[in-house]
Amino acid sequence: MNKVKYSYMDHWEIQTPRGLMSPMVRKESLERFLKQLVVMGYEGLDTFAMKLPMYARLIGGEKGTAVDFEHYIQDLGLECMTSMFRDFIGYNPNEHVWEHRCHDRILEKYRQDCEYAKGTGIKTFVVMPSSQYFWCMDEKGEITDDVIHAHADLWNRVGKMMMEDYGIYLSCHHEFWSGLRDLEVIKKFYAWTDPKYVYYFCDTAQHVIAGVDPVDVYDMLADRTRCFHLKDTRNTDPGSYKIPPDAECLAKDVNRWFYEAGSGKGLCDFPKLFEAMKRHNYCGWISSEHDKAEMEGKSFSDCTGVSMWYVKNVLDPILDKEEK
Amino acid sequence: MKFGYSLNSWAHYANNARQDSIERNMKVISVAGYEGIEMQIGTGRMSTLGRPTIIGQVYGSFVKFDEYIKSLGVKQIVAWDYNPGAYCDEEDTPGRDTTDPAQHDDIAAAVEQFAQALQSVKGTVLPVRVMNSYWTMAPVTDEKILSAAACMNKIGAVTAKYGVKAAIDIDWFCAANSEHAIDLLMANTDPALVGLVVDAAELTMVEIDPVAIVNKYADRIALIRLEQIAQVDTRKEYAGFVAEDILNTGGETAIDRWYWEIDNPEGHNLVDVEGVVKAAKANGYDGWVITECKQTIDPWESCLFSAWYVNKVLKNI
Repeated sequence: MNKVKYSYMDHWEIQTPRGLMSPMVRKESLERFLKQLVVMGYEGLDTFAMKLPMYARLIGGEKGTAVDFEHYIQDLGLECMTSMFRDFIGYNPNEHVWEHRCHDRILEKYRQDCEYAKGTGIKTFVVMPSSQYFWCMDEKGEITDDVIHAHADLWNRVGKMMMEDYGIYLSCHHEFWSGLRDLEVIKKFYAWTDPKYVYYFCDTAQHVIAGVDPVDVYDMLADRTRCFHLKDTRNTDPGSYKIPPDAECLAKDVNRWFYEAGSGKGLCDFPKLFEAMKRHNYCGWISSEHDKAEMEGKSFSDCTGVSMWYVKNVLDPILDKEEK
Repeated sequence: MKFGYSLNSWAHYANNARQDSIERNMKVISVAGYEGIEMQIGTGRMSTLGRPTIIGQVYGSFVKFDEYIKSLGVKQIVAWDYNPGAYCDEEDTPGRDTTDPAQHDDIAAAVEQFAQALQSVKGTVLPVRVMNSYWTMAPVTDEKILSAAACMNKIGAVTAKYGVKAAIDIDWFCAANSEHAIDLLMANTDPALVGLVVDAAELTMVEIDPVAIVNKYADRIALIRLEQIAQVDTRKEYAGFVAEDILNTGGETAIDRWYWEIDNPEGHNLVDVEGVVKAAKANGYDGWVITECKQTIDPWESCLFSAWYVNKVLKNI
């Protein structure tokens, strides 16, 4: 029996008289955004650790807290914040996830985030477990076992801290342009991390772009899976993942990588994934994510509405709703 | 009461002409929790949902279109909004005048295909812009209003054959935009054939209290429409030459946008939306309430955002 709830990953952008902006720039636009999530049937908000203090200040003023913000979204009809995200891309020379010398500092930053979120409903910390691919590849353009071990060592420490000190699950999200993108590398990473502390976050589009079937990874890591991003793509990556400074923005032949689930022209097999969830009796949050919808001037309301329609009418019934 | 949404928010061919656009719009309406829609009658190649014939070309038939949107979760086509004064290629008319008795038969004949189509999908209301714009009709005399009432009776007699109620629809620019005109129209139309659309925002725009209208004509209401406005036309700019231009020019106050969602954090809550629904409920109204938001920059956002207020506030009245 699957017990699932749906949340929204906080990428929303709006057209304003001052151009494209996040709705968090004003309380009025934030309220418009959150009310739309409630209407569509989302129950949770996945956000960014970096955004939390800004949300707190917007709602609670100078002394505002993450808890104040969560009470605010609850008043509007959401259940809670479900996760927060932070990554270490690689440009800061003292925050290299693939180098042991940086791990104390990285761990301390995550601890600060967990402290800040204390008292909220956040029970998952989503991380990009690697940096951009080109930072941690060797001279042949490959990711060595030593580098994978270094990653594993960091996340074992961070995951232990999060779980034992804060009751938060560390969940790893594999961007197609990150060091831990290929199936063999992913397998080694999870083999070398502690299942008690390091969990897997399944982002459908990121895997498909990297030439990996997300259902294969999920089948392999079902017991360690902590949430999904339902996100579609129309392209696999012909090799742009190594491009500096940013493979996602500067890829030569692809202007926009991500589309909403349910847009109808994508490569991700969502029904297959939901069949797998049913098979593994997945219980927990499932998140809609379609970052970069603004790239083609699309409305996030449009994309999110279409995505939730697809979830409610096509995907969720696969989980046998009456058994929930 | 049942709540629906008007397709008039999607007012550009870039978001309302293609089948894939229409599908996305319907999905968003469905996800928002609205049960029905109001459509707008139109003309020509850019008006995909404007006429039974065009819908037939695209979807096979009106019934097939209804089945299709039902499969997307939109349960009911409630109303199809008609403006006899609008240019129409298919009917070879630059627009007709409800106050001219010589045109009444043509107007009544024109509505038949829409009433027939509505009946085929259990739609119930044909809102009719009862008079053309004030600036084209001035001076607005009782004689003209009575002629428009007679026209409505003829229209109502046609639509009634199909179980559809013709409903007097008055917007801000309409020549019948006064309480006197409403009273005269109501008194001189057959309650069995002709109802009233209470468009709360349009009435408020010309300083008519929609709550008072609901209370006064509760037994005649065929449809309620709700949206917000940012400003009341206290200057009576509706009477000026080509007055509709002020929708875009902003008129004397150079306002950017007149219409907003039924409730919004930016303010502009000049229409007593809650009061209208409370009064309708107190009077036993159990028909459709259509939410809309003209002039929106993001029709999907306005649809979803309005639904929060419908679901959390209005449905709990």
